[in-house]
Amino acid sequence: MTTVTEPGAGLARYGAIVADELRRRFASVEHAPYLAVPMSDYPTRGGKALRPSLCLATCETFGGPLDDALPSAVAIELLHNAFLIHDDIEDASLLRRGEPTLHRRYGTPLALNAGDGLALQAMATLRENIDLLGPRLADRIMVEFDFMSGQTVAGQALELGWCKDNRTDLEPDDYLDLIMKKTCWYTTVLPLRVGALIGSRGTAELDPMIEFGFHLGAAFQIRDDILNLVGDPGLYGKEALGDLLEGKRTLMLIHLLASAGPADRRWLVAYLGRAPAHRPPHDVARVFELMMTYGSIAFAAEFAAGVARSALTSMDAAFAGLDDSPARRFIACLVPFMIERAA
Amino acid sequence: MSGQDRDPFPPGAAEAARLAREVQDLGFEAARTIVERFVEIFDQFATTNGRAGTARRNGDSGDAGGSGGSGGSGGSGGGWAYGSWGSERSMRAAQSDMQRAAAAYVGMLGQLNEAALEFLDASRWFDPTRWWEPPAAEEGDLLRLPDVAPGGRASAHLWLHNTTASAAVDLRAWCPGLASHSGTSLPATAVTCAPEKIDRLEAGASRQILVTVAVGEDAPAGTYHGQLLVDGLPDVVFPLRARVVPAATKPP
Repeated sequence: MTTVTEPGAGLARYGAIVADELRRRFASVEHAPYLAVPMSDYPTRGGKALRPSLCLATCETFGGPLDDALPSAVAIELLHNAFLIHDDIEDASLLRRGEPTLHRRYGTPLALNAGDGLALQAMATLRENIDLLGPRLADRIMVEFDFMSGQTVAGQALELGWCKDNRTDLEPDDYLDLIMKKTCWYTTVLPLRVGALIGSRGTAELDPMIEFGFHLGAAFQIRDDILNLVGDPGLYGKEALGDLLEGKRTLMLIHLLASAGPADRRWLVAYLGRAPAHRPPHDVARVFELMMTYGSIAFAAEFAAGVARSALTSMDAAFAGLDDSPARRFIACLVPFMIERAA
Repeated sequence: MSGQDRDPFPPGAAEAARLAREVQDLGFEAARTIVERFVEIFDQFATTNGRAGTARRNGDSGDAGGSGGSGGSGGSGGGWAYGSWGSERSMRAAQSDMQRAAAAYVGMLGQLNEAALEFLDASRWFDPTRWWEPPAAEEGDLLRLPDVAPGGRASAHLWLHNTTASAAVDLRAWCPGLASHSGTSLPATAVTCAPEKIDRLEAGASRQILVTVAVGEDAPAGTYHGQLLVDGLPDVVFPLRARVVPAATKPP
């Protein structure tokens, strides 16, 4: 049995280091008209910096100096923001971290370009690992990023394709497969694996990081989906019920499609068959009511609890044999933070 | 008066709790399956890329140089990882049992009555309380409560994690009191924990505790230290610190 404090102090510490590094790197494009401002917009909106923090803390837990993992952690954050920009365009989202999305603020063409700029800057940042860590370790890190980037876009394509084809035959394992690709690998698995690689100079056993990262990331994503329905938009930072408007195949929607009565299901399938522009607010509200009626949100919550059940024990396996340290305790704090967060 | 009066749960709650456990088991099993599959997928990817993508249990330290996979293509043939490993159909077939179980649970949960669902909602996820507070000045295994003036209250959260293999029951966090270096003290009754008691904490589960210190009007300014203990867990000791500041200097 262990007790831990909240992860806020650790997030603030690692987040400040990453923010400083991002500012330094954005200086290289500060004179590029129409690029510098939109590129630096999302990264300076005060996100939680979970991903780079997880990478830096994992490196420290394995005994490596934080500076060794800094380029990789920054690359993760840059890619994350690039993904967000493109994701917001694809989903026609209105809000990001409580402010208008980038394409609403600067127009879609400039926003798309800023997303490309962030992704390319991430790749350039990773190249610094060659001098910092040596070519072999840098190469292994690149393999990790290659795999992650492929998974992420494949997962995003899956989600968009399910909506496009109005798939109504999905099951919970389809959803888990989706979020492993779309969310978990770049949110938790990659930061853990890369941090461990760097901190251990390539000697860490990385397979357990997949298990720990999945437990953590999947519960995080399901919680995110639930917050989209029942969270306080002021804390959550995105528009309420946006996923229902978009027809996203969340665990709740998959449950509803499987459990709704015939008449409700027919209505729901027809609703999902219409373009988002033809889904009026009262219909969106009806989908939410149906989810409440059929227990879809409760189902997702319990399912997530099961997914997260062994997060802490899988963490112990992932960090087996390593000394207790502030960095390790910070990661332990992240588990309940990510699973039960309200924002 | 009757047994029903003593039952703290609404009608259907027992059935809801049973179904909740079953759905949790489903999630747990689904997670295990997908993790195993992706471990394999990554290994195939790393091998195809001709690199030692992961340190293996057989002792390959991974960064020792050369091509990691005997079947690799020298680093040029792997390409990009977007899911071309075997047949998606065959992977789905391998999980058909889980899918059937999922369908069964989905159907069962859909039949729960409203009272049971309300119980589930209230018991787990739907409390919108935001527990994440602004970061403290430093980190470490010390719960620092925000500065507080005499007559005020300060609170902070901590988490209790059951990292053992079995459930823990009847846990009650408490503090025997706080003391300053000069001998002044805050009594045990000044420190309260919410929830007062945790009936059951499953193996691997976590529970948040809100620790509140109520400072008397006549409490001298100073830094007070104490320890949080947990009735039922003899090895758990958690240090607390509260700083009582004159009202005029308390931060806004």
